[in-house]
Amino acid sequence: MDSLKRAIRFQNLDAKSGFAWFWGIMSSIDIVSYFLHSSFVKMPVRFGFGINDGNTRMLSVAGANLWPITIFFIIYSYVMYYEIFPVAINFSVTRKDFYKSVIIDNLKVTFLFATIQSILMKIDIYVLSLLNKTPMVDFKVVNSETDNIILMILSLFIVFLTITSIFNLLATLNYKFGWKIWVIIGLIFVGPLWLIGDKTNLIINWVLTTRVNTMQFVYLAFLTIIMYIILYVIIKDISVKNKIG
Amino acid sequence: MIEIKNLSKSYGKTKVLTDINLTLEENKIYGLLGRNGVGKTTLINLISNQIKADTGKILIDDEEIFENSKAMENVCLVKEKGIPVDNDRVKRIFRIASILYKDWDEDYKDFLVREFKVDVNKRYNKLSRGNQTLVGLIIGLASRSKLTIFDEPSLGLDAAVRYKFYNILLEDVQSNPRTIIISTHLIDEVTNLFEEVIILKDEKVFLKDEVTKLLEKGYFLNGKEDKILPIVKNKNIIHKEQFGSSIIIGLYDTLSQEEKQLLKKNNVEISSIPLQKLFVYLTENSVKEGN
Repeated sequence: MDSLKRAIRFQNLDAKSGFAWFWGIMSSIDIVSYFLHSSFVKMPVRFGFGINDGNTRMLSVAGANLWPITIFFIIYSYVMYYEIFPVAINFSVTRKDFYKSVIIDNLKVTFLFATIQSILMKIDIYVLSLLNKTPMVDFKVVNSETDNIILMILSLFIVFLTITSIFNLLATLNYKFGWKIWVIIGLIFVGPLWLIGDKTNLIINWVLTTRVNTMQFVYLAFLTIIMYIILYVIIKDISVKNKIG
Repeated sequence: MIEIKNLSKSYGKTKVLTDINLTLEENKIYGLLGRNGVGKTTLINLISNQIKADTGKILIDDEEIFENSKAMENVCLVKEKGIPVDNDRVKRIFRIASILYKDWDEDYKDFLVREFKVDVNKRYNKLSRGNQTLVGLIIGLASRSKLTIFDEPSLGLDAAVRYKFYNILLEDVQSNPRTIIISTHLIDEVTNLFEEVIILKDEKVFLKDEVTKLLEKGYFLNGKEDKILPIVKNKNIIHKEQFGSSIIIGLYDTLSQEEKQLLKKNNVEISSIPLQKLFVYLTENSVKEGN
């Protein structure tokens, strides 16, 4: 147990600064966006800072954070295996303890991100209304107007966690098998689906665009558990690759 | 106590270690020797859980080491290739080590940083090779792990710093006994450090013995060929150099007092073979077993 605690403390070492940097930048961008929208009243929404709902004049500034957050989780997953894993194993952490610490870290980070993002999306509605803009509230996975804050947090949490679990697995496969894994994924999964032209079948697309209700929550939770189980099977005897600074 | 039982490891079709069996006692300093590519680093990586063995097992105090947190918290590996960090500052690397090693001694780390004059504010990848090695050595020493492994601990270090490290290591092991494994090519420098030597050859443990016993069996005999060979013809000759009618024979065997006296009477000069040369001869030649 002590060794797991040490592994978790190691994971936490830079978490605060990484967290502060990301949200510092995102909140600064959001504030500047609100300021620009308040200063340039006639600015067409499609050229606005934030996201808009296609041809309508609905706008969301905080909603635009969703893509950077998704990209953050992809990078976070890759850093976990390409940077943190070799250091942890080098310093005598077992793969099992590392794996457990990853899950705990993933749960913590995704929940915190979901909480902050939900609050920002709720605030977004009021700020944009004050600026005489029509706020965009339907983000497919959640509706910031009709969903209460708890539901939004839980919905975004499970979506973020599922994305993170998928990219954790991809990153581990990538670390173990190198570039070959992309060829396999391309040949088996992405290529055929793309050729069929039904992009909705892509898992990521499904995760990011399907409304989170009870069943979807269960599906995503199940998918996340499957991802973490496969992750353990891969990570339990993975060898450390030499990478020197 | 560390027990290695029937350990084998291959990379693809290349066998590196085959059926390794070893017992390492507590609180001893071991030298792990072998030619390049013989599997020293692989053995070290197996002991420290960096890679998984194909077959066999490694036990520390009867606990299998692979994926065993209780066993692994007593192991510290200082890699030849450095620490796998990108551009972290040295102080952050020490911070990671202080979190992950349960017996970490922060005061001792501070002492070593001062002693070796390491700039902790510099980024690791901006350090010279010697200073990168020093960061690893400081971690190995300050970890106070029951089993500390140094893989080529002298890379990039000048002689003065190397000797300082050897002295500090000896002092520290005396006050904080633990098992140390050192894999190095600078054998003569560390002969006095080692208590036992393990030599790997042809995928296997070729030899494991106490240094004093090993050195007692290594002799150079320098004299006339016809005066030496009749006496040592049934001995284990590991080296031979001919200079006209004179010859230098490297012997890895026991010599009785009578044999020594006879050799001296025949004007044969007897001297010890330094460990490094003994290692070279032993790993170079097929040893001819004496009777």
